[in-house]
Amino acid sequence: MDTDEDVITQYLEGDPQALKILIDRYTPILYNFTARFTGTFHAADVVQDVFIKAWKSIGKFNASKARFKTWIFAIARNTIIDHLRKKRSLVFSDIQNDDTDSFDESIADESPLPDEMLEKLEDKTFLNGMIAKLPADYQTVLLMYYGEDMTFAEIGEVLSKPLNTVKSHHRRAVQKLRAMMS
Amino acid sequence: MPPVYNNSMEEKLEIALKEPLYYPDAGLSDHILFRIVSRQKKLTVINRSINLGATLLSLGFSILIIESLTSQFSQTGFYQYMSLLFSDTQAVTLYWKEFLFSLVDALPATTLVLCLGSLLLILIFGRRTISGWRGSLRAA
Repeated sequence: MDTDEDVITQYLEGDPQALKILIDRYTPILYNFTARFTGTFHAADVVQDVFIKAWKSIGKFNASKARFKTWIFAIARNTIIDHLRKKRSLVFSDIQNDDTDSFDESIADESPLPDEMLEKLEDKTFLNGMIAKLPADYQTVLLMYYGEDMTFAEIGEVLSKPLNTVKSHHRRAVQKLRAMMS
Repeated sequence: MPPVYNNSMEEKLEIALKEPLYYPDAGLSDHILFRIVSRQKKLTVINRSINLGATLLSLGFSILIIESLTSQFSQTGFYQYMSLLFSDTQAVTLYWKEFLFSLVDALPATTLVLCLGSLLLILIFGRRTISGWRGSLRAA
């Protein structure tokens, strides 16, 4: 299978089918990501806007600077923020910037989980419900790290935040989930 | 490198988040592609119209400027100076500095610059128009 960057090159060289490949590849991923913040009612419209924005600026995409996935997720995040601002709802930037966290703090909590909590965790819907209660940036970090196999550095590029902040968001998100379940 | 987890919470998170929670309608991808293609077509039509319009405008402007330029050449005596170049070569060679000065002085500089500018615009927009039509023919 061609990489995203290969497909973009093919599109820029005049192959119209290449765009379809990219859209087919990323629509489910972006829809799942978007629907978590906007709800399913608006998700399709937001995803369409994401692709139109990406298409308009695809000539500016630089594969040596970032992966396509990182680039399109950054567009998706900004589009979701715009959408939510229009709706006067939650915004991503409501989380204070905490760059000062030490490395020790970013190490995961190793304390064991109670059995009851582990049982609850088996239920994906329950866990997804808990995740939905987290601040938007925390959710984004978890979704990208566990769901999309993106590195903390890539997530930092999407969120325009330093690596340590992303690690801190991840650690705090996990801690909050524990606190919510206990 | 795959992440290494050191507690169950993170393993459960991966299990929960790996599988999508929401799935788009089957036709969403096609709808997005349709919207992009429609916009692309619309943009192409707008661009072509702008290029064609600009080519025609600069062509019309060039015709007017060229007409004005030819009348200005005769009014300033430029043609007379030029004919001197062929009729009295000796005098021209002898007083070449004065001749050159008079020739330059007789040039309608502003109109000439406008004329060259409009010809340049014809070239630029004409080229874009032609390449646009070529592209559409190739696509067809």
